[in-house]
Amino acid sequence: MNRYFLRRLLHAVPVAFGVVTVVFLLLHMMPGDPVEIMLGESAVPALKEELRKELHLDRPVLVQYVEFLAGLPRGDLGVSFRSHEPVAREIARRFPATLLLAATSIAVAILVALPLGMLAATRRGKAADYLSGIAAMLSLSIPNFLLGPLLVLAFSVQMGILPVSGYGSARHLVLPAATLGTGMAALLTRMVRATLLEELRKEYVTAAEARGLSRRAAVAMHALRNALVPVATVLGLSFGAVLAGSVIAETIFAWPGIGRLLIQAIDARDYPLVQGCVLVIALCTVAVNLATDLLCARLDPRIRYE
Amino acid sequence: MNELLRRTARHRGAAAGLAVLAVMVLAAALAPVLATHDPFVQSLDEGLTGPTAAHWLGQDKFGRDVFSRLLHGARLSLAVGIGTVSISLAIGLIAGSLAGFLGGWADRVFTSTCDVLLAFPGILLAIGIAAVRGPSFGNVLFALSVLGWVGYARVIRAQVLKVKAMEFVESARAVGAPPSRMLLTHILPNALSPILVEATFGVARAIVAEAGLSFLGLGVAAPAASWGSMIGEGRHFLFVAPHLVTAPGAAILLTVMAFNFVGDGLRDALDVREDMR
Amino acid sequence: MGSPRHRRLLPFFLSIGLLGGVWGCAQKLPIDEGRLVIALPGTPVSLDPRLATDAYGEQVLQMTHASLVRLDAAGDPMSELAETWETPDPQTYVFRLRPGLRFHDGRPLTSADVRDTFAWILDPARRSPHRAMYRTIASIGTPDARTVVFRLSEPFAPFLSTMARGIVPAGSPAGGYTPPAGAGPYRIDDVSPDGEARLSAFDVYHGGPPGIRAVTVKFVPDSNVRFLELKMGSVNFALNGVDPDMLPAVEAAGRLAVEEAPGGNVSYLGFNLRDRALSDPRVRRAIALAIDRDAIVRTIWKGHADVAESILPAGSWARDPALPPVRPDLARARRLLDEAGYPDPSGDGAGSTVLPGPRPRLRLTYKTSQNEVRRRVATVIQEQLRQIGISVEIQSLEWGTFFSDIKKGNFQLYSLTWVGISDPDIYRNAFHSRSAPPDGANRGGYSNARVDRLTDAARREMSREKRREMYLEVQRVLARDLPVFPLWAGRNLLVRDRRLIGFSLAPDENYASVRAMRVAPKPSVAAAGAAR
Repeated sequence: MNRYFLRRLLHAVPVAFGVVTVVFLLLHMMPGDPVEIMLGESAVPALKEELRKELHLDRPVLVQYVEFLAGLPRGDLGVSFRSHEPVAREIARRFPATLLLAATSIAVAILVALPLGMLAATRRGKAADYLSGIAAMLSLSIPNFLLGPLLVLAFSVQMGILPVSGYGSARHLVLPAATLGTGMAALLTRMVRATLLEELRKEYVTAAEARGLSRRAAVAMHALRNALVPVATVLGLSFGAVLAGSVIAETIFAWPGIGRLLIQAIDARDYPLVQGCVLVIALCTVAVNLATDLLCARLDPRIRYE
Repeated sequence: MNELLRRTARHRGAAAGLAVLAVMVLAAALAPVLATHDPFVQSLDEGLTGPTAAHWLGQDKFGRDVFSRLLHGARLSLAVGIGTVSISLAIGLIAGSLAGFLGGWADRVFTSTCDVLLAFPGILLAIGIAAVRGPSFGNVLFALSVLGWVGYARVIRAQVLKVKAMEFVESARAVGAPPSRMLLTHILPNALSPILVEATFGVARAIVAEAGLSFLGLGVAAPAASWGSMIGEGRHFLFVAPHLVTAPGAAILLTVMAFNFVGDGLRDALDVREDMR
Repeated sequence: MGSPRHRRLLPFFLSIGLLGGVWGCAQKLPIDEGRLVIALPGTPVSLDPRLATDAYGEQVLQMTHASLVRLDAAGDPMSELAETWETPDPQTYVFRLRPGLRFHDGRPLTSADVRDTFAWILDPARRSPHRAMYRTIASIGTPDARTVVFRLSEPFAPFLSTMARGIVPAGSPAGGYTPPAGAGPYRIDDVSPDGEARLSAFDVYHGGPPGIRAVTVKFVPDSNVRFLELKMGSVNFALNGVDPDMLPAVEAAGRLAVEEAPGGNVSYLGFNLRDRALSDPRVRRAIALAIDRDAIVRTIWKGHADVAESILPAGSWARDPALPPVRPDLARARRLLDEAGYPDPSGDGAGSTVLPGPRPRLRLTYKTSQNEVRRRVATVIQEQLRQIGISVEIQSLEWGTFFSDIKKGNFQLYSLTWVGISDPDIYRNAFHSRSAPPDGANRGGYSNARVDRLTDAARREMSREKRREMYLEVQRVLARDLPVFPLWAGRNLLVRDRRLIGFSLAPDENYASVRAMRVAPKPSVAAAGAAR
């Protein structure tokens, strides 16, 4: 067990390193001169040169890369071009909002998916299964940039019970969380249903039924625990997808999170900020995947490295 | 009764999906013939008009015919979906078999590359690439393929490893059969089912991803409309001309659902186990 | 369907629905609490007057940071922090501050703060984007706490208009989202960078306590969301924040009023005169003749703009009202292209942008920002130029790339807007041959000795009448040469709650008069009932 933990941890290190490299390369492929964007067109050339030096943009790319790496352990992601503030501070200010949104949508997805998936599995082939299957497929197929505006149309315009956008209260959280959580809920429902069906086919359920336990109790007692492993895996993978989806959801709902910050940074061609946002989202994904794997290993002792 | 419902439901889904896709492909192929108007010609003063006898699905902000643009948009959306999957498949085939056959450091490089790429969730990497390279059809294909090939490559690699471990391969190698032959005779046929399923979902994913990029203004260039950019443009008139979003929205939802249903059907029919990672 | 599980779930869903209903009923609108909620279409980049260059930042600062002078609708300076000023010679400006001025934090505002604000901007190490604007300042003297003396290195006619810059306390560090104190009618209590800024009334303001006690400025980039928030009442004030196509729906809401006034913005089509085809005035003229600006104003702007013949806004004293209008004439445009050596290869007059078809006479790229309305305009111009056989590729670039390309001269056609032009000195900046970026905004490489001479002389001339004569001639030359083609002059569109009164629409979208606003009492229920 500990050996697996250690190897899995060690595996995450080169991946994180690769992520950092990809992000660095991506941003250094961008066209245009960041110094000119920062200073405006009336800047004198000498001033531009000075700033270029200060930002180390005059050095070879390799040197910039090494400096970028060296800064990371100290949490140094550079300084934002547009606000002149440290990128790490800008991201730290936005990250809690994204985390709140992601956590809420995942929680909602679990709350919807577990009962729905169990219902579908225990009533396999019945109307409830059929309907939840259709609903899951619809939810899975609707892109969030379509779902978001439709939810606004229904709940804010027609019914007028939820705010259109913004941040601050629980009511502001509902629509963006629903937009982000719907696809994941559908995915989870299908996953819960599929794994439960598989478990139900296994011997111990049949044996439990033979012992006189009701089928539903058997599900609750045994199958659910075994079904948790794939569910946890899906959740882990979904976390990254939710972070990525927040780029669109936060843009629609003016949610002050890291996704919207990324789009603003792209629009302002704020190199360090774009770099920081992409990096933080990707590294979070690596960390959550790692945590998921370790959790799964704890839940299911059969899992071993490779 | 329940058994019957279950069976028809399952088959009905895939069958309906196939039917929808057939219509879509036909519509896309015959777009120039079926279109009632030139999709680019503007009648500015008729902007944002709802459905009429002359314009079945209404007109957009520039007075262009939505129905005709939808047909031409079908071409683009399907082209992005199929193009992305084809490129990804080609790369995946090469990378996966190379990793599987060579093993050793090549396989380790492959695995790490996949792990690094998969750390960029959803369309995050595509957003980054599209933002760097600007909006165009080619760049969208590129941005979506950068991540798209990983799934196919993994399927191929797994299959290569499986076949390599089998005894008959040992004997085949003993008599001097080249890996390319093995790829054709043993690996591809076995990998076909999971790849077909993956590709079906892949087209749906690519269509959604392209639309998402267009929504953020990072998709295909302005005049040639894909459904994604139609939603992107029409979204600004959601409350005065909802047909500009609902028409392409319905098209995209229908197509994606059709692909997903067909993918589900294929998976069941071919008995492909869902690959969790 | 009627399983026990369903019956158990039903109350759960019902209670959620009820909860939603209760929330809906409990909602109280900001207007009922006397709160003004402004929607800005974007997030300010900076809230430090010494650094802010973006429109949204400037607009917030107009409410919070007072300047020496304020510009009126015609762009003329009015007294603000400076009670009076005089110009003993063209290179000296003496300002006399009002007595008893204070900053939001209670510190007195003195001549030292004024000097320090501009010295800070002029310090190259601060990298202020405003530095170039104040380059003519040679020294700033403070003979006493209420007197500031600016000495210029050369006469600079637009100097007073550059003094509309917020004053901050001496020694304030560069503010990102923690803006330095100001002396305006509102103080900034709190800024969440992507959400909103909360302001409260500053009663020590020299102009007296503002009528509205609390102001929220929401940063809402999405036009649909701005529209919906207005309709729901969670936003009650939006200046140029509503898509022209949405205005009828806004007016139908009853609670909202729409006001319209001439704006100070002029949008234009820029040509690159270094380009082989576009260096030919006949090609530029042909393009101008193909563009139906009336149609753009009528359909894209729904009539809430005016066709412009000059880049000066309608209110400017230097604008030539007699410039000959350019009207669409496709036949003449095609003839000009023939003469310029771009014959129609297919003979049918039209080219195709996307579909394979007749070959175009000429291919051009058109660069624009990602602004939604600008992209619509680009789409219209693309189609209109197709009618004379010019194939246009639109490159809708994010602002940074776009502006950087324009400044580098990396473009053929582009469209931009001159915002808040208060002084015709813009002509020297935009068309003088020595004003190529980074020294000015002559991005297309236009060069005309006459324009050079006139714009140089006009900025040193202190008589407005003589300056006007010079600028009229400049405008006539430009209308003939067409280094840029003016498209439309924007109008300012204010959507506000009917009960919010007292705001005066200025051409430059100035928010300074927010301080004069107040909330009218709610019409009583009985009156409303009687009206029905």
